[in-house]
Amino acid sequence: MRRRELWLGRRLGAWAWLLHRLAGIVLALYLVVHIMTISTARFEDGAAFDRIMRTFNNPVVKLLEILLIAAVIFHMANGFRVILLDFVLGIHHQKALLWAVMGVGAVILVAVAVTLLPLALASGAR
Amino acid sequence: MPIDMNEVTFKVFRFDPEKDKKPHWQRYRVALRPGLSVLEGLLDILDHQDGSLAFRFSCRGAVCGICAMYIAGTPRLACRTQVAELKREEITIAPLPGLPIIKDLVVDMKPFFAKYEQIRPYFLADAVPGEKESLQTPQQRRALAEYIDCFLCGLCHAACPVAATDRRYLGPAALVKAYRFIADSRDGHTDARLALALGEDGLWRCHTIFNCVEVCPRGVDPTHAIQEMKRLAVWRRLAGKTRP
Repeated sequence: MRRRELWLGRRLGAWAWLLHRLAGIVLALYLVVHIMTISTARFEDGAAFDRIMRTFNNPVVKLLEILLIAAVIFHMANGFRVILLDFVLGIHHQKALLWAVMGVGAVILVAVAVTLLPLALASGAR
Repeated sequence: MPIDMNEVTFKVFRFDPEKDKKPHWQRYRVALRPGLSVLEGLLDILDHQDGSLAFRFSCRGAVCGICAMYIAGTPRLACRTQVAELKREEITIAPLPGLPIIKDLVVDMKPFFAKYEQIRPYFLADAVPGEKESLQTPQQRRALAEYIDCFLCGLCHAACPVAATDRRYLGPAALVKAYRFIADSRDGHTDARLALALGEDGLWRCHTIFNCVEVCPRGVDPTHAIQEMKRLAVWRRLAGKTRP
């Protein structure tokens, strides 16, 4: 008999690792859907693609896009941290490093949201 | 926890393979006193309430590393954990996960030490030639100090999500010891030692989660040692010193 337990312990390093994996899975799944969607451009002289794009042109999808970009940014920022750690850089400051890359990520995300949100709000009106 | 509280509950994992089909939790009330550690609380239970409770301990002073267990959701040494500092009315105490349970809080450390043996934790045959001492400068000795401090309590192994999901993963403790010999100026078997630490269940399984660093009671940084070995392995391969 063994006890099974995955200790996350609310420690930053563990959460960064777990979220990194989850974001990675989300992005991989998105990629499949994305490739399927753009592949429709081959059919009906692009009319199928236009139809799908029109369905996607609504606030919910636009908001989901912002979430998708949040996942991309998290995966990218933490990925940069992991690369630094692989070069044994900042290994004793991994938490500070996480906050630093998350800070940069947050700035990028705000810039993206400021750009996309008006589009999201306008898309429903059309 | 209110200051006037004079008792806490220990919720203890109980399992006797000779009698029980599955484990259960048993609650004990333990009187608080200043400086009460979880280990002392368990000893109080053993002495005055339930002589059948099994747990391991030896030095009572965080020198031996034997009383490693899962306390209030975190791998800790029972002797080094102050009950008052947990600030809980009920403290759950369970055996280390991932290892076969012998009885109650006692786990079989054999799989853990089998991994330790895999990295050959001793000087290799020709490492110390002749009858003369192998001298080290204080600086060379300092390079090892952190890794020699590891007393193999197994907390890091219990805290590691990779070790929890991959039973064959060498784990932080064994890998730290592999690095202890690589960092030793008297050993000189870097490539052979790296070969032992590499492979499917070795170095590259570490995903820099840092849980091992969080729980180490000796201030060892296994992640740092592992990353140093990864870097070393890559450079030596690129320099053509090792073959795939």
